[in-house]
Amino acid sequence: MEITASPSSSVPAATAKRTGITLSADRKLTLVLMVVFPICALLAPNSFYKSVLVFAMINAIAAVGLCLMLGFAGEISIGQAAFYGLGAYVTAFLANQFHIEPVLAICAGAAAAMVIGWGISRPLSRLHEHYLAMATLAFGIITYIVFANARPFTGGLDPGTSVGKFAILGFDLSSMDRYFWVVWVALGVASLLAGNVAATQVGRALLAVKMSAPAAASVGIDVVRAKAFVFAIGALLTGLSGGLYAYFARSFNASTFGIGYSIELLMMVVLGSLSRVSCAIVGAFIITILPVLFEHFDDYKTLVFGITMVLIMKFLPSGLVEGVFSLASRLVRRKDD
Amino acid sequence: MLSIKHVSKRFGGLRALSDVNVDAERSCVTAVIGPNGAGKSTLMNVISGFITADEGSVSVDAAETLGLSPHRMCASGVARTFQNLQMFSDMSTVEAVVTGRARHRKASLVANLLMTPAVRREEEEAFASARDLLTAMGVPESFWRRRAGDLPYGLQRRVEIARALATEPSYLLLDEPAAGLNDNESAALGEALVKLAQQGIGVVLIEHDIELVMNVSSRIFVMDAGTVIASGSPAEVRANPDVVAAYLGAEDD
Repeated sequence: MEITASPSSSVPAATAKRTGITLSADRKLTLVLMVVFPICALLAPNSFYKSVLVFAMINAIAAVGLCLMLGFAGEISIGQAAFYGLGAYVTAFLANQFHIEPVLAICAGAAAAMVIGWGISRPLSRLHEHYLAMATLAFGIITYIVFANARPFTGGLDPGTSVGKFAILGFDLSSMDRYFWVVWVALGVASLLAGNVAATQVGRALLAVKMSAPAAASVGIDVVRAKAFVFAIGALLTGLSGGLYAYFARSFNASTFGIGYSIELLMMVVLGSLSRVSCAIVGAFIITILPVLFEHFDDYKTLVFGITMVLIMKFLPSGLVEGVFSLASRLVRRKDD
Repeated sequence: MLSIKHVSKRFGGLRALSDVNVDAERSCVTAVIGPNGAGKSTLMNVISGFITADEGSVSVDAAETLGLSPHRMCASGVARTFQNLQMFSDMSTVEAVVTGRARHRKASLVANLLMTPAVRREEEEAFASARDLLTAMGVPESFWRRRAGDLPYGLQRRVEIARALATEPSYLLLDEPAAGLNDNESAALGEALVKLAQQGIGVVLIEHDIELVMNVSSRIFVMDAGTVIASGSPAEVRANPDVVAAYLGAEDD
């Protein structure tokens, strides 16, 4: 039994006959990606490419979080780097100061981000669209300034902070080969969770709030609570991704958590899809890999991202990957006729 | 009984409602009519919690509800439709109605995130009851899986009522449900409303279509300039000279 909550698909799957367990197209594609990633890791010619792959998967977790916020609830956030940074710093701080298990430190980092996400959703709950964009942008800038200046905790911009090796119960998993599987599991859990949101009334309530807040309220959906939930879960996933990043980079400084990262995350989701978890993962992959494929890409990144963003918003408002998929499925259907 | 007592609402210098008294019984259709700007929609918004009145009381089956937020009003048994369609356009039609069952879902957030068997069962039940409601409202099955926003206007109106009914309300507020419907559709709507009243729902109808109102209502409240100027059975209201002057007269010309 599965109900798609994909706003842009013209034929929502499996609502008429639902016998046994069927998977939505989104889940199937996510499953395929979860199989493709290990194959890519096996085929990676050297550890550099493997680390790019791991980084892409870390970003994908954050992108899935933003996909729920922006794609389902229509809550735009240009301050996701704040949650990413919170996850990373809380993880590093707990691991360094109290020497707790890395897994627990990462979970605590994610939980801290979730609490902050839930907290800021309250004052933001009356804001829409570009006002919300401005407010979250401001939130991102403020947290960046805090990260850069609270040097006793974060190490600021220089020297930054560093963490030990990732291990579970003393078993060293810090090599890229092993850490890949740690991130793989985390991405699997994140997309399963997001898929469950999409497939149940939780996701439907978020979509309802996006499509018509008055109508959502009129059928008993607490709009403020729904927004708080989506901010909390978006921050949770982004914080998780930040904690994983801390053990991935091992040494990092506040510059990682600036507006640039928030915008890259936004690009991943817009490029991928506003309504499908799997496409957001593909988007994260593309945005992470582009700078690797093109040597001088970083010089033109802002320009290219800016132009692509405008073009996608204009011509494929549901996302590039999503748009290509629906175009392809339309062509296939036409052939069938 | 849904009871509105001495309700007043000001918007700046404008008295939208002043000392309005309206009540609606379960199991019958109560209509509120009046010219544009009479305050009907404001009254509707006060009852459903979208606007808080400055003074007065609104109670549902003897429980005071004035000042409750819209989603809490829904929980106290008041459902509504909107004058301008508020459809969950990008959902499938059946999903839009399933969304209306939000307040009857027992499963916790965590259970939903884990998609426990209980949640799956609840989903099945919600879809089954949504299909029943769509059938009852006369939305053909061929439309159920279509994007709700792509349905013809008249059907979207019915889907909106089905969605409101999915909340299992004691009282159903309908804000101009016949607007934009042709005569046949309007007559079918009237039959549907009478049927709902027979099932025990208190239907509150705000409507411009006098034919429809006179046919289905057991009690009519006539509003003008923010006050109730007359109330009674259709025959009484029709005979009331104030009403004829304020409203019906213009229609009869």
